Amino acid sequence: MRLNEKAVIRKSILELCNTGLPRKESTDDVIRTIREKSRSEKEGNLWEYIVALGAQLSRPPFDPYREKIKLATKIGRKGDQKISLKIPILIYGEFDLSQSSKDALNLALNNLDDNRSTVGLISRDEPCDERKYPHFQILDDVSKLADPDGIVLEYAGVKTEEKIEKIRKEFDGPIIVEVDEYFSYYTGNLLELGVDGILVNTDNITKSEKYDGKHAIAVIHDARLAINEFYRGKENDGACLVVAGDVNNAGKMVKAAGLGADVIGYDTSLLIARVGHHSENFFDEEITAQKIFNHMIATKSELTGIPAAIGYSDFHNLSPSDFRTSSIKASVQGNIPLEGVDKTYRNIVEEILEEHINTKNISVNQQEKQKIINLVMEGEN
Amino acid sequence: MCGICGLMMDDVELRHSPVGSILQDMMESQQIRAQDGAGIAIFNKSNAGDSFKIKNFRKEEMSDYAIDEVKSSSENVSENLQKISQDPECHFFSFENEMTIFKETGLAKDLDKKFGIRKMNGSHGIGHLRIATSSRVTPYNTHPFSTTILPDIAIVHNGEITNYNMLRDSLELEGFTFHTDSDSEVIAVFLASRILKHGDIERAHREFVAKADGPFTYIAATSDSIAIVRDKFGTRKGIIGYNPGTNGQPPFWAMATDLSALDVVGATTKIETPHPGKPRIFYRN
Repeated sequence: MRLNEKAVIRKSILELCNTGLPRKESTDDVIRTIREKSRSEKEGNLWEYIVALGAQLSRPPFDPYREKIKLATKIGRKGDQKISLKIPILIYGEFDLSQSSKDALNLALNNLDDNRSTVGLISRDEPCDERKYPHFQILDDVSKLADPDGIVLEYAGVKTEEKIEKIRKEFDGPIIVEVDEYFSYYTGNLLELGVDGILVNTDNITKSEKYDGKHAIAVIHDARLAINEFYRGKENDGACLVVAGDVNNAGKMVKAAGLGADVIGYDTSLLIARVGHHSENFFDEEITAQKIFNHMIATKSELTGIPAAIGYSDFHNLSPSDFRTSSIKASVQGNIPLEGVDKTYRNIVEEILEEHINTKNISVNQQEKQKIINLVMEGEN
Repeated sequence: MCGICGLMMDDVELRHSPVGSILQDMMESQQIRAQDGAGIAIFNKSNAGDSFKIKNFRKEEMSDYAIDEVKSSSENVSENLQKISQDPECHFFSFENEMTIFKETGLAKDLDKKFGIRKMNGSHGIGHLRIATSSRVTPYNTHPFSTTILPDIAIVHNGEITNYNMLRDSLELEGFTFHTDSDSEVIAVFLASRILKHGDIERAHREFVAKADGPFTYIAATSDSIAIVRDKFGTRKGIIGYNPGTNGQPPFWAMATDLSALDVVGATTKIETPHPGKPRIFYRN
């Protein structure tokens, strides 16, 4: 195609953009005239030229202010029994709330669902009949199983495993087990039994003797590791990690997701307190519900900022390598790269050991290497 | 701003077509996009047999880019692959049966000068021009990438897989090995892992697009197919064209980053842009 023919096409596209009206004279006719004038015999295909022009354009890279970041997630390992959340948050609380607070929460969660911002609820109460959102019932007594969308059990040894087997006979929905500090020993068993998710409450676990002096990131990191260990050599079929406790703002939720949390357990009483329930002279359910709604929508927006800035279109793509820490402890506990060197503390120890072995020409097998590295890591932990 | 290209000959009777020459033209026409490295993978069914070639760089030979080639039979191929994967002195290069990969730092014309790309025949092939962004300028970080999981898989890639770390971690957990620090390698490993799992190449591409994040276009070739795939937002470009057999060339489908690569080889009919997130696959007749 000749330059003057290309010019006709560009001109006609610009005219269409400016006026929005079709040309009186067809572009092909104009080109044909040009060709006749120039006695050109060269064949050209207008459509293909326009497609080719379009193909040379590409959209600019991800823009945090424009792109939609996917927050939605599903809980459940069985295809037809999965529960969908539009925001990866389960409002989670064991504390007794007043009936008016519960009603306000119920109203807010229904409004969120209406606005395509579904979050779930974990509570001891029987699920409300008029709910639109998913409800996970904390079940202490199997005989009290109501009609929840999902179940949360607290781990209490072998009894819980027996309970899971019993529940599974009559309940197909997702089962999440809230674990204690010894989760690394039995997470595999729970997943083997068909449990759909593991819930760690970092507040409770960091208070235990086992995690004495460790940060919440160590709990999240270890819990993810325990799930991953079960899936070693196979693909994860959807078992999720729910992190609750010390995740009470958007920043901490993003960090938790980066360390491996799939869903965040947001403390119910904290939520109610945040929206100003106690500062009101009188309690108005609708006002409180609106405040909860606004708070969750704002949180939804805040959650998208960091993944978008990093270049993700999905919140769940965050990983420890997206973060940097200046603390060796945090690097050891969460496998997070250190600032400046962009390597985890473990990586650095491995490199130094490798160099030492090569320089001194020492014979060390893989198992011995790991033993040395683990000893150094424990010393820093 | 890498440049990628690929082509699939259209006629089953013309398998031994001048794939090398056409790909070389397409690469040279896009040279302005990238100058750090060039690589090519060519598929020729007449090379297929019972033996496999496992190529690797040895560390001490990196200065002149010499490549070790371990010929293996189907009986000892797993053992040899494992040896190479575990040898800290080795950099895995490719796992080939009918496929042949050549890659080199520098310009496309230097690749041709060294390996005689223009004389190579086959049914299809892919090419890459690299500008280093996230990893060093070395021959083993140059595309195409192959895997130790299955032979005859090669990918070339333009863009960035932003959730590379997460994808790599989950694939390593599944037991698959990586050999470079490049985010592009994750495409090859992912596709191979899924082909191993369910054997459906189209499904494998769809699963990758669903899991991968970031701006990218890649071209992947297996012994029977070639596919161009753009990210779900279409943030990186790609174009497909058909040469019906002009200028004495046999008919073929061509795909590339830049229109110039199609123009130079006469693939200017049936022009199309791959739809974002939807793999466009061409199968060998």
